[in-house]
Amino acid sequence: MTLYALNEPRVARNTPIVRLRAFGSIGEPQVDVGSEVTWDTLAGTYASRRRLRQVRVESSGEGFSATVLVQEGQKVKRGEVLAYYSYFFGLGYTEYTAPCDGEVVALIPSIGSIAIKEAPVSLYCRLPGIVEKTDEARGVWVRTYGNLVKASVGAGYGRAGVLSMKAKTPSDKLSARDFTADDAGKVIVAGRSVSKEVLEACLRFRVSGIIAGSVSRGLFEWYSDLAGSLDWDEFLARYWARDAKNRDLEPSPSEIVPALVVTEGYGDSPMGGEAFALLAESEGNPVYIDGGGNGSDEPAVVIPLNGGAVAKEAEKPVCRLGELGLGDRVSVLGLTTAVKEGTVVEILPELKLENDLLLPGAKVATETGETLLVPVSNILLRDRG
Amino acid sequence: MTKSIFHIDVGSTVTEARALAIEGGRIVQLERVSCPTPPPASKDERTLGLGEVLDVIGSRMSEDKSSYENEGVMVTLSAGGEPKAVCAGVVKGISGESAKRAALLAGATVTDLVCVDDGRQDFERISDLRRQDVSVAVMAGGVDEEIMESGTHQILNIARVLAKGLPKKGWSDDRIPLVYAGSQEAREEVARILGDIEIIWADNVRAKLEEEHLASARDAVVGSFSENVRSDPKFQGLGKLGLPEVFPSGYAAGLAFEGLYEETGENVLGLSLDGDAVQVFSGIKGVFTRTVTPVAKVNPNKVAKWLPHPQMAENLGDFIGNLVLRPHVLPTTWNELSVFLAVWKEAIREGIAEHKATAIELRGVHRQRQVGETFQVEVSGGDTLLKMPTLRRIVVTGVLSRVLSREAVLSLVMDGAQVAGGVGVYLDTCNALQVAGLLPSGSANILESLLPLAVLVAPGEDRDRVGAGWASARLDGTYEQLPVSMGEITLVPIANGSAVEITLDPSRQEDLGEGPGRKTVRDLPPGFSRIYVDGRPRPQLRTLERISPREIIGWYRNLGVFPEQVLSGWERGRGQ
Repeated sequence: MTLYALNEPRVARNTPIVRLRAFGSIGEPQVDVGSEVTWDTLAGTYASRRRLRQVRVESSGEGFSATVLVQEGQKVKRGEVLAYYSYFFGLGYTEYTAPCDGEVVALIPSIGSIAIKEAPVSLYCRLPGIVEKTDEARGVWVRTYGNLVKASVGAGYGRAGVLSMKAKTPSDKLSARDFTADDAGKVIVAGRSVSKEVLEACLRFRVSGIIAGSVSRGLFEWYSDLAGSLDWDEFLARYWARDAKNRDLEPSPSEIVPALVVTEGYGDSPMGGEAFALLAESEGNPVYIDGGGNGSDEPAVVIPLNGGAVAKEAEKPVCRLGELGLGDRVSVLGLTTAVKEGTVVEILPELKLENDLLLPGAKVATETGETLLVPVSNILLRDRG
Repeated sequence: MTKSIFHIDVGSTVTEARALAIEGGRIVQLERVSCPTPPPASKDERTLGLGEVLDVIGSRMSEDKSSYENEGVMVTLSAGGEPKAVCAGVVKGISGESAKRAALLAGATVTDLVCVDDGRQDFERISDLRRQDVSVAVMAGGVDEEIMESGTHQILNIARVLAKGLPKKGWSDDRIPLVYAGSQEAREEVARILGDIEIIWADNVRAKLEEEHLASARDAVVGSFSENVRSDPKFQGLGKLGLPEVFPSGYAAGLAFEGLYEETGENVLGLSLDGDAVQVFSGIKGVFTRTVTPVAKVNPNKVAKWLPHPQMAENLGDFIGNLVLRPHVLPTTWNELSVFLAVWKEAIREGIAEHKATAIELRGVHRQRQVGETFQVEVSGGDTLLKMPTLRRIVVTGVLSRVLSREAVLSLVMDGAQVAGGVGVYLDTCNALQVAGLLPSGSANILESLLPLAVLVAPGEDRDRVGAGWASARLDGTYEQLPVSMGEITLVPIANGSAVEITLDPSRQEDLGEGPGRKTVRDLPPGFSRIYVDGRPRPQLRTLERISPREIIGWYRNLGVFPEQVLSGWERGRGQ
C-alpha cells in the first residue's frame, strides 16, 4: 500500500521570499512596482480604521460652553489643546487635547463635538528588496532573498531589528529579568516558550519581536487582542518604562507592540532544532519578523541576504507530496506532545493505535531512542532516506 | 460488466480517490486511495496529490478490467473552504439571510454579509470587502415589483458599495463575478452602477416576501465556481484530470440530502465531520439548508464539561489550538481520544445551534393577525424549522465518520445533536452522498447506499415520559416496552437486523411531528442491529450544567466507546 505524506519546508535557506507589507485599511502605495526598497523606505500610507475621531467638549445645547481654540480645516498635532473649559469662578479647569494628528473637519456646537480626520498612517518596508506588486486595498509586496523560518502562529505586525539569541538552546526558557532597555529594537530568540511576564517585559523595553517555540493558547489570545487594540496613549499609561527613551516619538500603530512568532504551536514545546540553528547562525544580523497581523501573510522570520537581491539559481520553497519509505526522516505531530523528529523503520498499511483506531501508519524511531506507532496523518516528511 | 465511477474529492485535509460501482441501485466502494491536502495557510497548490491518487487507483482498477468498465470521473472540491463567497442584501434578516442561504447551499463558505443594517459605514464595508480572499459575490434585495417607483432604493446603495468594494480575483486583475439574485426591476440600474463587473443574473431569491427561491442563485454560484476554479493557480492540478466538471463538495452532498428527502418524504439531518469544520445539512418540510461551523469556534469552557476527568481540562486550550492549526492530526492515545471527542461534541452542538438559527421560517412575511392575537407581541417569522422530535433520519458523513469507531460516532451524534423522539442514524462509509448527489436523479438509491448504524429513541424534553410507557418497539413480531431509565442510555439489540416499528406516546405538551400529544409510529427499514434508549435529562445536557465526569464515564460505558480498564482508570483518578 502506498502512503503519502506532505513535505512542507518550515525552514528554507538562500531562497526568494515575497512578503506582503499589509495596510491596516485602504491606503496609498508610495513605491512603484520594480523599484528597489530598503529597510526604511516608506511603502505607503493608509487611513486608520477610525478615520473620524470625535472630541466632546462642554456644550449648552445651543453653543459651545468651552472655549474652542481651533477652527475647521486646521491641522492639529496629537496632544495639542483644542479647547478649554473654566468653571466655578476659575477654580475648575478642563483642557481638551487632540487624540491624534489630523485635520479638524467639523465643529458641531449643538452637541459640543470637534471632529478630527486622522492623518494617514505611514507604513515602512522593514526589509530590503524589490517591489513586486502594489494594491491599495492590501498593501505592498516586496520580493527579497535570504533565509526563512516559517511559524505556526503569530501576533502583531511586520517589524525589523537585530537578531539576539537570548536563549542558548531550543529548550531554554527566559524570565522577565533577562530583558533590559538595551534590548529596545531587537528581535529576541526566546527558546522554548514565553510567559506573560516575558511578553510584558518585551513591551516595556520596546523590543521589536520575539521568536519562541510555543505559547499557551490563553496567553496567545490575550497578546493577539492587545496587538490589535493597544494605542500609544494606552501603551504609555500601561507599559512605558523610564529606561526606554523617546517617549514623545510616537511610532506608527503597527510598531507599538512587538511581533510574536511561534514556530511549533500551542503548549510548552521546545523550538525546532533546524529553526534554532538557522537563527543562531544569523545572530547580530538585521531580520524581518512578521506576526501576520492585518492579514499580511503567514507568520515568519526573514533573514535577508545580498541586500535582498535574488540570486539567479535560487528556488522557492514549495510544499511537496512524497511517498513514505523506509529510512525517511520525518516529523511526528501530536495534539498534546511536542513535535518529534525520527526515521521511518516500518510501513504499516493497517496500524492499530493504542486507542484502537485502525489506520495506515508507520513505525518511527526517534532521536531519543523511542519507537512510535504513528498514523500517516500525523507525519510530515523531512528528507528522503 | 459493472460500470464503475471514479470520484475524487479534494477535501480540506485529505484528497481521496474512490472507485465506486452501482450494484442494484446501491453505491459500493471498490477501491480507495488517499493523500493529505496541503494546508490553506501555506498558499501552496492544494491539488498536489491528484495525479498520484488517480494513477494508483487507475492501476488498481485496471488489474480488474474484466469485471469493471469505467464510466466517468466526478470531481468535488472543498479544500480551503472553497468556494468562498461574500453576500449582500438590503435587510440582514430578510434578503441578506436569503443570499447567504443560497451561497451556503451552493457549497460555499460565506466570509462576510454586507447589509444596510450591519452596523458599518460605507467606507468600512468597502475596505472590508476589498481585503477579502473570495471567488464570488451573491447579491439579493427587493421584491420584483414596484420598488423603484421613487427612483431610488437601498439596493442601489448596496450596489454602489459592491461596485467600489468587490475584490480582484487572486490570480488576475479582473474582479470577482457577482451573482445578482435581487429585484428584477432594479436590474438595469444595478448593471449600470456595477459597470464592468461580470454579473451572473439569477432569479430573485425573494421575488415576494412570502417566498424564497434559492435554486437559481445556488446554481449560478456553482456555475461560476466550476468555470473559474481551473484558472486558479491553487488548483492547477485539476488539469491532470482532463475536463470533468468540478463541483463544490457541500453542493454535491446537499443535492444528495435533497434526493434523500424526496426519496423518503421524511425530515432528514446530515452531519459532515471533516478536519476543521462541521457541516450541517437539513431537509425539513421541503426546505433545504446547509451551514458550516468551524471547529475553532468552540468554547473551551463548554468542551471541558464533556471530559471524563477534570485533569484533562488543564491544557485544553492548547489541545484545541493545535487541533485547529493541524486539523489532519489524529489522537493516538485514549486520553487524547476523549478530549478529541469532547471538542467535536461541542463543535456539533455549536453547528446545530447555528443551523437552527439559519434554517428558519422566513422573516418579513406579512401575517394576518387573529382577534385572539391582538395583545400578543411577537415578531413574525424567524422560528427555527429544525425541531429534533420531528426528525426521522440523521446521516453522518465526512472523514471523521470513517476514522472513528461506530460507538464513538454514535456518542458524537447523541451528545452533539441531542436527539429527541425516534431517529435512525446512518453512516456514509464511502462518501456515497457526494456521488449520489451528482448522479442523474433515480440512478442510485441513496438510503440503500448508507450503513444503518443504530436507532436512537429519547423522550428529550418530555420528562413526564421518562420511566413511563413512552416508547414501544415491535421486534420480531412482538411488542416490547422500551426501558426509558432516568439518566441512563440503554441498549436494546435487534435480532437479525430485522425491520423495526417504534411507537412513541408523548405527553400532552410534546409534539413529535404529528401534533401535540399525538402518538407517532416510526417504521425503520431492516439493517439496524441496535436501539439506544436515551433517558438523560435534557435541560442538563442543553445547559451543560451539573454534568459530572462520573456521568460522562457512565454514558461512555453504556455506549462502549472506551474499554473498561480505561474507564475505571479515569474513575480512579488517572486523568493524565
